[in-house]
Amino acid sequence: MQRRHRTAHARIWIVLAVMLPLVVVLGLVVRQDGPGERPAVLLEAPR
Amino acid sequence: MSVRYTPVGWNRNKAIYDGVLVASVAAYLLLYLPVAPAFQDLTRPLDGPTLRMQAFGSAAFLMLSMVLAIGPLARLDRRFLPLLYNRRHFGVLTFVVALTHAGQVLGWYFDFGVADPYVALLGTNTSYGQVLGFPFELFGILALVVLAVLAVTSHDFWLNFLTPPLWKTMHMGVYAAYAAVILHVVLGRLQSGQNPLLAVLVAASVAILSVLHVLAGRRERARDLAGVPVVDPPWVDAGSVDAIAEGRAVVVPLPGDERVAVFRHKGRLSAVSNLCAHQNGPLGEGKVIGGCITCPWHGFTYRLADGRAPAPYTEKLATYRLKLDGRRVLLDPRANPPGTYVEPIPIPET
Repeated sequence: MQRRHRTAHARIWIVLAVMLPLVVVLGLVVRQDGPGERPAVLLEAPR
Repeated sequence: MSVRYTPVGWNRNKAIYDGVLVASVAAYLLLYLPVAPAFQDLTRPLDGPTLRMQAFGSAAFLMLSMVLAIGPLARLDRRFLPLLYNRRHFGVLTFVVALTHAGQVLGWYFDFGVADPYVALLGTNTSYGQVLGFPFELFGILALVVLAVLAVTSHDFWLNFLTPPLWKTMHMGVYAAYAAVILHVVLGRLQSGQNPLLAVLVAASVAILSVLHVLAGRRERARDLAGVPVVDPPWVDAGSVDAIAEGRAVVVPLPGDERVAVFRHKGRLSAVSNLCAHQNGPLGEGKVIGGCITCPWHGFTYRLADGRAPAPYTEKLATYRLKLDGRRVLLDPRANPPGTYVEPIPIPET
């Protein structure tokens, strides 16, 4: 690779290496769990 | 390499590469479809179309992660170089799988209403002001558009038409596509499903790719900063002749400039630009095969003395003058015009 491509590549990944893990962690933090009282098995509708 | 337009210049290595690639993707999909229902949420059983869109979506995500890992892996360890050889076909297949995923989504969620599916896709959810419920599809569309442009321009015709530096810059767009895919998955499937496997998969992909790229970048930077001493202006010290193995090269970083590859072949030394004229591959990491320098990335070849590709090919490299001071190799850092003949210098017997 040319030096300017190597430099650009390195800068892009320094930013991505900080931003992407942050996005994943934040995504997991704000994730909402399903209702705790859900039935353990699927209830079938009466026929 | 080719002197006229051919859709794909097939050879045995490419056929094997593509065969393994297609078989692996098919095996993944065929395994995913019967196995995934075993891990489903019993209160929200998977239907066929959802299962298929998840299968293709996860396959595309894994493939994109692998495509992005090949570059730094090959920089860090030469044993991964074969994976680089046909990486473009890997990228094109990734786009095809991602497009199939998008087709499944459109056909299942947006094909049964009165509105046009594309209008419905873009207009159904307009919750741009909130994180939860954000129209994550937009990031998927963005990634798909970038991958489409890269897939269409992946042929050597576009590489020659746009020139390698511009083509390379354009194809760095794949990093934007990857970032968009991460946002697409984190704001979409990761929010709606409780399966920890997906969270682990996404976190692992981001962690592994970040570490690999940062490590490879640090190594390249260290090489650039190493520099070489100027011993007899303008000549710089390129190291000991004994450090160059037969048929191989040492790479000499020039201050503020590009790198030069100094090759040793049959008792003589030659120096050319380290940048392959095809895709700027690192020629100094290649070897001499059949009397020609062979690029480790795609096998482009150049003559040692004048840096020209053997006829009928027309690519050529900048060459450099060399001289010996005892067992030290001295290099004139001023590049000759590409294709300039420079007599290889003989190495005296010890």
